[in-house]
Amino acid sequence: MNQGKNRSWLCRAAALAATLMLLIMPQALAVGNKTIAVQGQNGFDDYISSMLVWGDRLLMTSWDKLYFWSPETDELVTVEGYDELQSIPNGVPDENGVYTLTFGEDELEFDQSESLSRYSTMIPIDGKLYSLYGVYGEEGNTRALLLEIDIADDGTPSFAGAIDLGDALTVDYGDGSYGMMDLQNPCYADGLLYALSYGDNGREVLVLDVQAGTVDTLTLETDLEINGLAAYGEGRLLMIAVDYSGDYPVTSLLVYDIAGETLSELGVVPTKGYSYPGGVVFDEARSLLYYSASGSVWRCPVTEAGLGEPEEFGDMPLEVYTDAAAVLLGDLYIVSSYEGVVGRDVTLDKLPEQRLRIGNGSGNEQIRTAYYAFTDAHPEYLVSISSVDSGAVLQDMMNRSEEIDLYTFSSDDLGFQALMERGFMAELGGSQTLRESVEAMYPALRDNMMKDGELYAVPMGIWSSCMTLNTQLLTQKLGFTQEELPQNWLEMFALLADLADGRMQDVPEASLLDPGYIRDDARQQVFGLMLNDYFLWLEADEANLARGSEVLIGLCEAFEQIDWDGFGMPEEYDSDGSWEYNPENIIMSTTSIDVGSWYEESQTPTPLAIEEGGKPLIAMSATVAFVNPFSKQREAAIEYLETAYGLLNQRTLMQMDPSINEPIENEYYEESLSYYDQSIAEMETALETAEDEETREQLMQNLEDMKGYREDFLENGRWDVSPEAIERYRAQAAMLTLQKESIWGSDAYTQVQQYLDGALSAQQLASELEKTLQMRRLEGN
Amino acid sequence: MFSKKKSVLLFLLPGLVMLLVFDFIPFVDGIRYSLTDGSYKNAFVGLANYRTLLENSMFRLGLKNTMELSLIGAPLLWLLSFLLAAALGAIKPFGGFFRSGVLLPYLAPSSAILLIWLVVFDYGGPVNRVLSALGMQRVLWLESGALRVPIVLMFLWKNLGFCVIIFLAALQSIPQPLYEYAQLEGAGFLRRAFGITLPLITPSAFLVFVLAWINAFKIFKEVYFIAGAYPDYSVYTLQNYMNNMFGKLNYQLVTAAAYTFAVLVLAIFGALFLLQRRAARSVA
Repeated sequence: MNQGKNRSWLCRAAALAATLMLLIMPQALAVGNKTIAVQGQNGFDDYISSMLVWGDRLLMTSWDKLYFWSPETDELVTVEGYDELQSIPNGVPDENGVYTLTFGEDELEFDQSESLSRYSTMIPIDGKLYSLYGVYGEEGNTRALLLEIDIADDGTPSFAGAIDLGDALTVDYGDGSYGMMDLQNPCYADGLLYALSYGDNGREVLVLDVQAGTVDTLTLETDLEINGLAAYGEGRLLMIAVDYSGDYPVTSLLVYDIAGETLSELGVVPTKGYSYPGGVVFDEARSLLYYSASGSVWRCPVTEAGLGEPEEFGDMPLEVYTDAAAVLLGDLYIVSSYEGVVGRDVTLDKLPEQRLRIGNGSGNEQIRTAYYAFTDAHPEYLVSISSVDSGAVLQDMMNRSEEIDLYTFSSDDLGFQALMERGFMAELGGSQTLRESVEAMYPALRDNMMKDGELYAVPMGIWSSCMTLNTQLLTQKLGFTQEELPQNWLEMFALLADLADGRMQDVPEASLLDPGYIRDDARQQVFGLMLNDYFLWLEADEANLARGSEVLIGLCEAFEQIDWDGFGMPEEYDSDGSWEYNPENIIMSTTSIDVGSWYEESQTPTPLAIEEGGKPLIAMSATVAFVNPFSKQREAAIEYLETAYGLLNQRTLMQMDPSINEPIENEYYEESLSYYDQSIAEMETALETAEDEETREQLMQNLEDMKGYREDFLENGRWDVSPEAIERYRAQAAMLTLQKESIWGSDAYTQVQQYLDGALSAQQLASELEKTLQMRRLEGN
Repeated sequence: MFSKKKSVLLFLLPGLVMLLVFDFIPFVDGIRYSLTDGSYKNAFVGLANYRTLLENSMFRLGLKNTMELSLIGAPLLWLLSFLLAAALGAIKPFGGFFRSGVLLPYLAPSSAILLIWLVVFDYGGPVNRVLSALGMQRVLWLESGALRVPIVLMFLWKNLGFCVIIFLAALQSIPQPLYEYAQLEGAGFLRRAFGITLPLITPSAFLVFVLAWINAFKIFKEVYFIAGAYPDYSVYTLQNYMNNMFGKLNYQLVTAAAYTFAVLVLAIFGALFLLQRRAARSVA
C-alpha cells in the first residue's frame, strides 16, 4: 500500500518535473539578447566595419582590428597581428625590379614600384576567408588580389593563398586616374561570389568566379538601388532594394533567378512613419526576414506568395546606419552601428511586460546610451529609441498621444517655446537630481527650462557661437589701438567704414571675410551677423521692443556709411575663386564658444552689444529632453532621463553649470610625454653613434625640433580643459542667451533682402520688423 | 418586409452614421474642447477662452478685416459676375470659348496664379511701371496696406468664372417669349430687367451672393502666400490669427475662434436667408 503510494507520489513528482522542464527548457535553451560591444563600455572604443559568421563565432573587423565573439563565452576577443596584414612589405627586387611574395602555396610577382594594401573587409568563399587587396602601380593603375587568410586556433591570422583578379575590378576614370571597385555585402551562391559595387546607381552586382579568377558585371533591370544580397536557395538570390525617389525611402525584397536572369518583387518591407528598415537579414532555415526599424527588431515571414505580417521581437538601441551588414549567428540576429554591436534572440516570443518609447529627434548620445544602464536595472522594460522630428512631436501633443514617453528637442526648434508655454511637458520636479542639476545651471538656460518655479525640461548639451575679429591684424597692421576696437555694432560699422575708406589699401594681404566673398554677399553677411544679435537683444528684454525701431534705424544708418567697394572685393563670383582659409581675415563669421575651444591667437571671439554701453549677448541653443505629459509611465521616463543625464561628460556639464570648475587633464598626457622622451633619447643615442657630419647635423636638427615639440606639449598639451580656458569661458558664458524661435527665419528674411536691395528704407525695414514682433506679442500665446 | 418609413430610414442610415461620426460628434466635442485650458490636464475653464479671444486685439482685428474684405469682395464679385454673364450671354460668335475661358482662373491652382500676381505687383513690376509712366509714385503693393488691392483683385479674378456660370445658367433658363410679350406690351429695358430678369433669377442671385461671401470669408491663402503669417495690419485676417495660434499650439483659442466665427456666419446667412424669402414673397 505504502509502496503504491510512494510510486504514485514519485510518478506525480516526475510528471511535475517533466512539465517544469518543458516550461523552462525553451528559456534555458534560448541564448537571450546580447550586448556584444558598445563604445565607451568595457574598454571598447572602435567602429566595426564588417561582420561575418565564421564557424560558431562572430568575426568582426574594424579598420585595424579583428575581433571574435561567441555566444557561449560572451567575450569579445581582440586578435593580435591583424594590423600587420593591412599592407605587405616589399620583397627584394631582382635586376628587373621584380620581386616575388609567397602567400601559402601561391607565389605572386610584383614590380618594385607597386604597393599593396588591404581594400575591403573579409569575405567567406567556400569555407575559406579572403580579403580583397589592391595593388597600386606607379601610374595609379590597379589590380586586385583576393588573399586567403588563415586563422589559427589561437586566433593568429596569416596569409594562406592568393587569387589574382588582374584588372577585373579596375575602374578607369578616363582622366589618367584609376580606382578599384569594392566587394560589398558578398554572398556565395552556386559556386559564384556575388557582391555589390554600388555602380550604375546601385543596379550593378559583381559576379566573381573565384576558381577562374574572373569578374562579370550583372546590371539589373530595375530603378531601385540594391543595398543587400543573400542566397535564397534553388539558384536564386534575395536582394534588398531601396527606392529613394519618394519622400521617404521604400525598401523592397526582390528575387533574382540566376539561371533565368529574371528579377521579381517579393514585397515591400513594412515600416512605420519615418523609420525605414535597416539591417535586413534573411533567415533561410526559418524563412523569416529580420530587420530593425523604429527602435525595435522585427521578424516577417517570407513565402513564395510574398511577405507576411511583421512581428516585433525585441528592442534595438542602435541606429543601423553602417557599412557592416547584419548577420545571423545561430539564434542571434546581430546588428552593428557606429556605436557598437548587439544581438537579438530571434526565438524570443515574449516581449518584456512594459515598454518605454523614446523619441530622440535631436540624436542625443546620452539618451541613446542610457539604454544599457536602464535596461540592466529594469529588465521588465522594453526600450525603443527612434528619431521623431519636431513636427511629429507637435502632432503627438495635439492628439494627446501617450505613445512616446520621452522626447529630445532643440531649444531653437519651432514649437519648443509653445510646448513649454502651453504646458505640454510633464513636471520633473519629483526628481531631486534633475531639479538640483538644472537649478545650478546658468540662469539663461535654467529659466527657460522652468515655468512658475517648476522644472519641465532638462538641457542635455548646449551650443553657442560668436563672431571673431582678427584683433592682431587690426592693431598691428591696420593701425587701430586696443581702445578703438569695437564694443558694439555702431562702433563695428564705424570701424568698417574707416577700413573701407582707405586703410585696407595699405595692407593688401588683409581681407574683410574669406577671400571667396563677393561684395554683395559680404554686405549681406555682415548685416546678417548684426541682425542675429539685434533679434537676440529684442527677445532678451520686453523693454527693448519699445526702442527696437529707433535702435535698428541707427544701426542701419551706420551700416549705410560703409563704402563696400573700398574692400576691393569682386562683384561677381569667379569660377576658380578661392575659398581657402585666410589668416588675414578681419572677420570670421562664427566660431564655437566652448569651454575647451582653442582659438588662433589672432582670432578673438568678439561679442558686440547692440547699443553703446549695452551688454553683448551670445546666442546659445540647447538640446533639451522632456517627458510627455500624457505618458502612462512618467516615473520610468524620468528615471531614464536621470540615467541619461548621469552619462553627460564633465565638459558638457561644465558648460552648463558655472559651479563645476575642475580642469580636465589630457588622459594621454603621460603617454605622449613619454613618447617624446623616448624619441629624444633614441635621437641622442643615434647622435652619439652617427658617423658622418651630414647625418650628425640632420640628427641634431631633428633633436632640436623634437625638444621644441616637447616644450610646446608641456605648455599646451596637459589639459583638455585648462584652468585658463575655464576662466575665459566663464567670462563669455555670462553673455549666453538662449536663442528662441525668432522671426528671423520667416518673413524677416525677405524684408531684409529688400532693404539690402534698396526696395525698403531703414525706416520701412524697422517698421516692418517691429510690426511683426508687435503682432506676435499682441496675439499672445 | 419593411414599411416605407423604415426603408427610407435604412437607406438614410449610412449617411446619418457618417454625419454623426464625422460632423456632429466632432462639432459637439469641439465645443467641449473650446471650454478647456488646453494643457495636458485639460481643465474645464468655462468661457475663459472666449473671453480671452474677445479681449484680444488681434482676434478683433482679424475678424474686422475678414468682414471688411468680404463686404468689399462679395458684392463686387456678385455685380461683376452678373454683368459679365449678361455680356457673355449676348455674345454669339465664340460664346462657348469665352464662357469656358472665364472659368480657367477658378480651375488653376492658387500657388501658380500667385507667382504671376507677385510679379505683376512687385515693386519693380508692370503695375508700378505703368504708375511711374503716368508720373505717379510707385506703391509697395505687397508690403503695405495697399496689399488689399491685389488681394481683392485676385479674389475677383479667381472666383468670377464660377459665379458667371451660375448666372449664365439662370439667365439662359428665362423663357425668351416673356421678353417678347413684354416688348409687345411696350416694356422698356429697365422694366424688363426689374420686372422679368431679376425676379426670375432671384434664387440663383442669392446663391451667387452666398457663395461669393463664403469664398470671401476664405481670403487667407492669398494673403498668406504673399505676405506670410504676419501681413500688414489691413489684411490680417481671422485665419491668420487662427493659423498663428495653431503654430503656438493654442488649439483651444483656435477652436473658440472657429466657433465664434461660425456663430457670426450663421447669423449673417440666417439674415440673408430671411431677406431672400421676403424678396421671393413680394415678387410672388
